[in-house]
Amino acid sequence: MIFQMPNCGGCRTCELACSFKHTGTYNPEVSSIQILDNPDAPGFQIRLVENSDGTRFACDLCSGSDAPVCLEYCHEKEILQGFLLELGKKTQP
Amino acid sequence: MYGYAGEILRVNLSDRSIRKEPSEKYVRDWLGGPGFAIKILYDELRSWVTPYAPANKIIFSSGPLIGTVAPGACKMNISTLGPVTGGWATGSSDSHVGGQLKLAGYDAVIVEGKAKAPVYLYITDDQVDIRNADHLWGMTTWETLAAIRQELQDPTRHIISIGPAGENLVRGACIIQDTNRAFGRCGSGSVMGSKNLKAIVAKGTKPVRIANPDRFAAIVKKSRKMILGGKNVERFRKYGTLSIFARKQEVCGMNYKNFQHATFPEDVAAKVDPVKTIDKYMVARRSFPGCPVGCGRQLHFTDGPSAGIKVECNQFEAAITLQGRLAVEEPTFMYRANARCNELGIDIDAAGGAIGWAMECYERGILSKEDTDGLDLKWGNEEAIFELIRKISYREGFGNILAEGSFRAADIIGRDSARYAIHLKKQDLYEPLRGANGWCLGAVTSTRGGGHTTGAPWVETTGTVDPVKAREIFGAEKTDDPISYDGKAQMVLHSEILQRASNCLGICIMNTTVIDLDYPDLKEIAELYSAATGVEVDVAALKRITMRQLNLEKAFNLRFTDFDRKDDYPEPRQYNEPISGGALKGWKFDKAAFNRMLDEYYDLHDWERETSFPTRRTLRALGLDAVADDLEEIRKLGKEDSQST
Repeated sequence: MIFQMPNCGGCRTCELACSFKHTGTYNPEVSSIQILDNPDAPGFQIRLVENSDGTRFACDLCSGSDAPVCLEYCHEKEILQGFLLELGKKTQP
Repeated sequence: MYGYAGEILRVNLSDRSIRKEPSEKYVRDWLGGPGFAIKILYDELRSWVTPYAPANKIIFSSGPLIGTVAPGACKMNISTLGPVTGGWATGSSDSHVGGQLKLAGYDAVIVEGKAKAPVYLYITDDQVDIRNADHLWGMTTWETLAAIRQELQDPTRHIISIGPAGENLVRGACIIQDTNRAFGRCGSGSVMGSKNLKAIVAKGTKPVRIANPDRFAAIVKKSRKMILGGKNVERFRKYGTLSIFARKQEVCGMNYKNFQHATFPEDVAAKVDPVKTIDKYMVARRSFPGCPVGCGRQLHFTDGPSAGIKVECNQFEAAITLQGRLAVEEPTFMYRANARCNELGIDIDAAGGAIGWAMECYERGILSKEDTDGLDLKWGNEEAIFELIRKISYREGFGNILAEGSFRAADIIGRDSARYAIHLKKQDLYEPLRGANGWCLGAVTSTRGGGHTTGAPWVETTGTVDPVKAREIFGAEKTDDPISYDGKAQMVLHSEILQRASNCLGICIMNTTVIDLDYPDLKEIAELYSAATGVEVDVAALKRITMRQLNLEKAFNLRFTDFDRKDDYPEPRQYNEPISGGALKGWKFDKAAFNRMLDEYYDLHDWERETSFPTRRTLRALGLDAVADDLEEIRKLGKEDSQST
């Protein structure tokens, strides 16, 4: 799922944190969240991986933890949380 | 290895050889980033190497914390033998490329030799290509980014590149990350240009490992909390370093008309106030990995003379090095001029400094339209300024003289114009030096020729210093009394250690006590490093390692330049002239006090007072006995106990 996030600053710390949660190492290539440029509008696009493609892990909302780790580092956590909730509704109805 | 990628890549553009060597041997004594670089450059550059010679080497490095979530861990470093000062040239900047280099498996990339035709480096994991860049040569940095992204069919690829300024060996040319982050100072862009190296593109997928994940998580959490709890975070997030504009005007920390004045006229300050501009035109944020602050932003001008223009916002630096120095009153000028310099790949201080010298000379009748290609260089003439920025970047006409920087331009022109060339160690000066003695001392003694990120304390003039905390951190009183000469040497020493440690690890210094005494300091940095890498260091070890670096930087400069004590003073205008107006009107340097402060600074470092040269005693204590031998051979070894003579 891809979301528009005008207030995302593109720091990509969420990608780092997510990959660490999955693998115990920092490797943004495998993370469930991916920050994409948004050439036509302010901010960035947030891609949440629904199904693993062999490289990236599917987002499981950090099940088993208190809260998704990406939220810990996001400046706009309420907005990101909203996206995660939508994903949750879709993948875990 | 943990934190570190484990390898250093060595690319020779002359014979196109590509070699890899382990980073391990540099880790314990040199930490990373510029620490690795100074050691490698000192060991490998013979005294006859000059900045544009193929034998010069330029080193791109990513400190051990880059690629992790450590606070502000995004600052790549680029170091070389530089063409502006002739000595140590270094700069750190926000970069996604640094993270990609780390993921590709490299702590540093050493580029040596010279390519026969323009090339760019393409680095992905184990694949390292030297690719043809004929089609990119001549492009601006922005065009280069677009072209490479198109070529690689990857719209999010990050690069560093030079623009026409670097290609034309403009002395103050810089290196730009993507479009708007600059490895600005010291002319590293022209060194890249001299090697026919247009760009470096990196993408990696090798994981960065952490030695002690729980311990690392704990210190990251603690450090982030310290930063997010800071009093000024919200304001900084909104306005970045431009948030200090009003304060700097209050404390006479500005530059108006080539340092003739230390404040803007009040009506001009009100007009160009960046807070108003940002409030009106900010459309988006810009942040970098790991940073809890996120102080960048995009501006979109919707009306006025800049209508339609979209740019990334600049730092405070542009407000005084371009807007104020050149006395432009249109408030959106600084953003456009900063962007233009980034496009063309020229340092805003190199451009502002040279043009500022020219405008003052024009004002005084030293230069006329005959000299300036017909341009009317009256203060504030925007059109002429943009035309000169272009001419400088392409070395056209009068721009060819200005491309050498104000010091050398004044040498070419003569006519007693040197007194208006405002520089430190031949590098055009950004920092106002009056009215804040710690800041001044840190800038004038800096081994890279001015600058405030390798030893200048920032907090003297922020007005929020907790004296108890300051005493603890700096080991000095009077830390919030900017015009005192006491305790400033201690403040600079602490700043030298902290800023170097941060630069080596890849942390942005604006996530440390450099900017706010409640933020992480050396203790937290030592813990972040130890937890991430498994290499245990404490604060004392950080002090030793960074002092080792500083002393090697000094020795490097002693090999390649004639810098000594005479080059550790404010330039003549600010050293001699009283402040013309504002809160500190009439204030001028007490030269006896300044000299005592400088003596104290040398004593603290155990350097000879008369010359500034390191002593064998201090070098030996840092494991640099062989360096003492080198200095003795060139008769630049400092005499011990010079304070008693």
